[in-house]
Amino acid sequence: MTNFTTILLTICIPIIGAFMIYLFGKKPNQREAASFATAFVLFGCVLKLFNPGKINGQTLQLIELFPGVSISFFYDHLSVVFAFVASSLWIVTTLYSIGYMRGTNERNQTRFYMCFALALSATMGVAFSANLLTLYIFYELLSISTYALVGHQQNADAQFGARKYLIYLFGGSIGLALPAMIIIYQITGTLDFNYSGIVPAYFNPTMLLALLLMFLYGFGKAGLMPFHAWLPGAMVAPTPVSSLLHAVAVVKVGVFSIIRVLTGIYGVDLMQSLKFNGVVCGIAAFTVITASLIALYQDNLKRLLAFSTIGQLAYIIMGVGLASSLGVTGGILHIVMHAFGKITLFFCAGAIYVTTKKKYISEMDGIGKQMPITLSAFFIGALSVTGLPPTGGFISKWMMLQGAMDANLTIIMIVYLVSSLLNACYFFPIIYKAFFKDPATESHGIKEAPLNCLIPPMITAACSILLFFNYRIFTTIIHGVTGGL
Amino acid sequence: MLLGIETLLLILVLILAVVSLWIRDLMSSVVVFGAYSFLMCLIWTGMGAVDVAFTEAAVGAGVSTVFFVAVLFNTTRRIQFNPLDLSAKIFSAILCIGTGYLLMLGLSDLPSWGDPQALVNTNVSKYYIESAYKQTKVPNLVTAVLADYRAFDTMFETCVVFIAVLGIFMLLKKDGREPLKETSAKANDNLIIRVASRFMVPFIQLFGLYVVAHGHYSPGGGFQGGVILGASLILVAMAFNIEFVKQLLSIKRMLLLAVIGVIIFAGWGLVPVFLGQSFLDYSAWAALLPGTGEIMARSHSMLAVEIGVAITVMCGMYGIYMSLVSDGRFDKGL
Amino acid sequence: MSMINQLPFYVVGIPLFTALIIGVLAIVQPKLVRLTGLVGIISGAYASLTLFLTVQQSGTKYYTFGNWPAPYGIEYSVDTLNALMILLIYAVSLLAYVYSLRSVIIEIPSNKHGYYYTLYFLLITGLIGITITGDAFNLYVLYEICALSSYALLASGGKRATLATFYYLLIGTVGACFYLIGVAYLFIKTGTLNMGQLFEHIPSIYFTSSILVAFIFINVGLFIKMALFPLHGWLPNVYTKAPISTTCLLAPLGTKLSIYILIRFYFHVFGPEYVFQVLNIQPFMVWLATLAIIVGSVYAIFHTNYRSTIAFIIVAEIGYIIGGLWIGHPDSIAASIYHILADSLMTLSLFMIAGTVLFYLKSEKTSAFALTFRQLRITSISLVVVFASIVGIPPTSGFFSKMYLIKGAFAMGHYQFIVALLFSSLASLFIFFRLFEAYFYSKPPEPAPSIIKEDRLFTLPMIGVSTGIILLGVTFNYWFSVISRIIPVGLR
Repeated sequence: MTNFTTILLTICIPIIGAFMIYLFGKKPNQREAASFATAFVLFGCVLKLFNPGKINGQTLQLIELFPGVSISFFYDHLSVVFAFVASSLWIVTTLYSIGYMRGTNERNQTRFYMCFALALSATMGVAFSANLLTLYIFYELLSISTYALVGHQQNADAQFGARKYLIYLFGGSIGLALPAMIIIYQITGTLDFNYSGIVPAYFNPTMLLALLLMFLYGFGKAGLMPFHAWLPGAMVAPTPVSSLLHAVAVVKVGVFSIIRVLTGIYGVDLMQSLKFNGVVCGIAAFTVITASLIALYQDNLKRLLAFSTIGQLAYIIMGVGLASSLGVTGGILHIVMHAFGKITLFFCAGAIYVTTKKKYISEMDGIGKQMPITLSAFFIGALSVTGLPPTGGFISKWMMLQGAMDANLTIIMIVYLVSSLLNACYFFPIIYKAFFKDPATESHGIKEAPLNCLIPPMITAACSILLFFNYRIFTTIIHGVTGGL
Repeated sequence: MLLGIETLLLILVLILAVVSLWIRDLMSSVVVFGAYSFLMCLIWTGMGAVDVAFTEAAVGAGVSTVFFVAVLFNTTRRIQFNPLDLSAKIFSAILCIGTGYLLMLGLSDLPSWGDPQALVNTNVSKYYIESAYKQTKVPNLVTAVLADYRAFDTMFETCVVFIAVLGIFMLLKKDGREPLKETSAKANDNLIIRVASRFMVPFIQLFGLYVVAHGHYSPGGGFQGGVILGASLILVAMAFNIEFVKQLLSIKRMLLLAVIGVIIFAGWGLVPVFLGQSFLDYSAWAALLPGTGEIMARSHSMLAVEIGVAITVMCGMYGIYMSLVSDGRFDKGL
Repeated sequence: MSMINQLPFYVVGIPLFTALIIGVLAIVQPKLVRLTGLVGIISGAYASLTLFLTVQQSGTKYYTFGNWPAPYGIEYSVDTLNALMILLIYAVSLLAYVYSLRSVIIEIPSNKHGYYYTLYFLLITGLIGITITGDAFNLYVLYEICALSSYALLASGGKRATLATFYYLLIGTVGACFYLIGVAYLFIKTGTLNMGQLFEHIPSIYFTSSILVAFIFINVGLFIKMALFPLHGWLPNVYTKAPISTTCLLAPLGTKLSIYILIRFYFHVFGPEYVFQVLNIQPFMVWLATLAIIVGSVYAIFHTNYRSTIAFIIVAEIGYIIGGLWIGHPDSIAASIYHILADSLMTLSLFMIAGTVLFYLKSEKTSAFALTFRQLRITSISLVVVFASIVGIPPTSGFFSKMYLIKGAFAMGHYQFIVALLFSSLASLFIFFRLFEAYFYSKPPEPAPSIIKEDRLFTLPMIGVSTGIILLGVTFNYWFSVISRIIPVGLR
């Protein structure tokens, strides 16, 4: 089996899985078994690609849509890392979804699993796209398939959240990213990613800057402020959606697309020579600080996590925007680290909700005594997102800091440090309340979440710690990206 | 001298056009409109377009006036005043004046009337004048152009008549579910009119046939002849009643004949296709008509298609009148 | 003359004779009407496909009627442009015809079916005749055939349809009359009606006022017929009230063919040099198209009745095509021509959907779509596909036309046009989700509605057209290469 077959398989398997889920729609056990099987097979496929030696930058062209642009796939170090994160976490999330969906007795579960699988297919498509158009197609598919997930509850809240989701994501992608892409095509005649950039350096810099901004905000899934409001709104979705899609797959597709544009369309040299990295970092830094500040005031746990996500995504963009070797490595590594950390946090929030129906932090006094395992996992996740050892988040943040130092951008360094501090400020009070405050109502002893909801956060929390020690698995691969810089 | 008369006619036409819009009583308006058509017919004649004048007289002044009357018979002859109308009228007046201005603007550099150097008279027209008789043996150039050089257009014009009758028939035809409306007209028993029309109709029809057949040599042809034939049937319907004329030509048969007229034309043109020539290439008929050369085949074919046209047009005029006057019920009318 | 050489005649002759045969059968043997129509339309479609492929292979085909040489007799000249359009007309009418086999039974009293189909096929004849002809006056005659038969077909949907059609008749007649006046001026100046010869003569009279007047009249006449803003007033009224069986045929093709005539006159009668260089109205026309798009989209949003909405979407789409044409960049012109194909299919699909929703659920308000998504499977899938294309989600065909329109507009610096395009994309997205939300966030009625099995005569053409919309997009490269050959050298 060649690598290209494997790539196609990664995109097709979830679709086949969705079809299987549809067939078994009436029988929950078989349906969920199908979902599981799909997740495992997908992970297996991605694992096959996860080998630095095999990466060779060849592209697979499927259909030529118009001159110079076709539906085509390739895989490089970046896509492998991203696909690995998304597919591995899907397995855990599937386990978690089963517990959560059954625990809360959600309706339309078949549709839920199907859309989930389709969203994963689109994510894989984005990861392996070899040009901007292919990426754009899968980006839109992802928006469509997650729309149904966001509106899953089908009540007024869900309608509002889903509408917001739609307006921001489609408004951005159709209104900004699409014309920017077409203009790039008009200028260059191609849309293929190339590490030396495809945009001609002699082109009018004002226009290039405008295009860059159109891309930054057009790929609204990255949640750069002020185009971020959809993400807190999307928290009306069931927690598995928030955890996998709105902490990992969807939002990171946004970041991934922006990284592709920065590195593959503009190219690092051009970014530096035109001083665009300053613009990118500036926007990201603004987002980082503002999002962290807003998060301080949140009472709804999932909303807090959403704002935290917005901040962390901007971190990654900032890291890549530094355009220094360590910064980029750190940024990409942070995709991994943040994914594991944030998904843990979401899993825990969901577990708390399934067990106690509590959504607000103010209600969670003393909950750590009731659910010690869940809250321990939460603690580890919070450590990782804040960037403290012994968790993976420390490594990536450290690298980004060093990257900022290499690039002589003291301001960015300060932003990193301040925001880490802010992260701590909004996470640790929760943990303090949970473990050390007395519960408002009588405690009923230990009453953990159902096993299905308990094991996944334990796994991901363990992974967060493991990654601290074994981060080299990823850095060796990522060096393939940064080596080209 | 002639120019003076034409100017006078044009002024009259303009006045009549305005008057027909001005009058509130629709019946009078229709009559004035008929007069307008007759004057137009004179203008065409003055310009040497006798065939056009003939058609205008038969269709514009004759049959369409009757159609208008038939419609008024089933609706009303009075206009209700509507304040909105005024603004609509002013708006249309502005549009008309704008259009007129544009047309005048283009007029300034058109070649003068009958200029022998102008392209309009030296290009295609010259060819027709020089070679039409040689190629078709038809002295009336207009017939040659209509029925042969541009026969394809004429075939579709015949279709237009067919579509008109079919469309009006389909829209007005009642399903039989709706109750009969008592019309105000009483049964027609005017003896003088009946006798007079009994006397006139055969001659009208004979003249119609002559116009059809003699189109090769004199102004006329299928359209004008068909209209005259149709008018004779309309006259019968008006003088007697609808039931009577339906016995002569039932509605179903009318529709069938109208299609058949088009089929005669199109089918005549289709035969050359089967003989390996192009559509409407009459010269191919030479192989089928004994004793005719290619040129005479063209000449004879024109008569054949004119007959088709005449049948369709006759049925068309008759059918439109019948539908309009009886409001699609085909029971009683004027 | 071989079969291949007769093809230009066959594509017109087959529907004509089908119409005439149906005209006879309607009176003699009404049972055979539908079968005859099917045979006619399929054989015509086959002929058009052969014609298209032949023209692709061996270049422009000429056909003279009555064997008279070109300027004296009437000539058909089939190049890639009209071969493509004929193929489109047949594709659309085949699907619309299959659809009508069932819908006519619902909408038209049974004793009028024969007459209805006679007019139906004469309309098809007219549409093809307009497209194929190389003679400016023959075009007018066929235009009349189209107009008259469409009036009758549109008006046959009850009293309201008749009134709406009456207004259309008044306005449409003015449009056709303007065209005729324009052609008359050209004839007086050049003495010919043959488009090829007109093209040769016109450069010598570029700077006369009469050619300008002719140009204005022909343009305004066609603008009325194609419902270009601000002359679009007749369209929404007619298309919302006429029977679906008719609008399925007419809405996709009627307005688009007027655009085709415009393109034909720009490229092969007045010539691109006159249109784009001698006249200096490009910015004005692009602005007009921009306004058409914006106004159409805004009205489409404000109407909640489904058919009114799609009628205004058509108005906006006309703006796309005219704008792309007048931008004058090869990419945007190609996109315009491609969009004629894409938009015809999209309009067809929209009206077919309107039909099934109306027939099964007896309503076309937004609320009816709550049940549409629950009960009508194929209809809702088609709805998703067609709106994906209208919004411009790849790989549906709507994406590619939009893409190249934007590309061309950017190259020529018409940024307002890009903004309008994107605005209309978002507006149609809004419209779709308004329909979708009516379903997604409404409580399912009790007892739960069962799935209605749509009639196969409805589903087949709907599936066909949805596939067409996607296929047209996926094979964009092929169509683009075909269309690129159409654009005159002066514009490349």
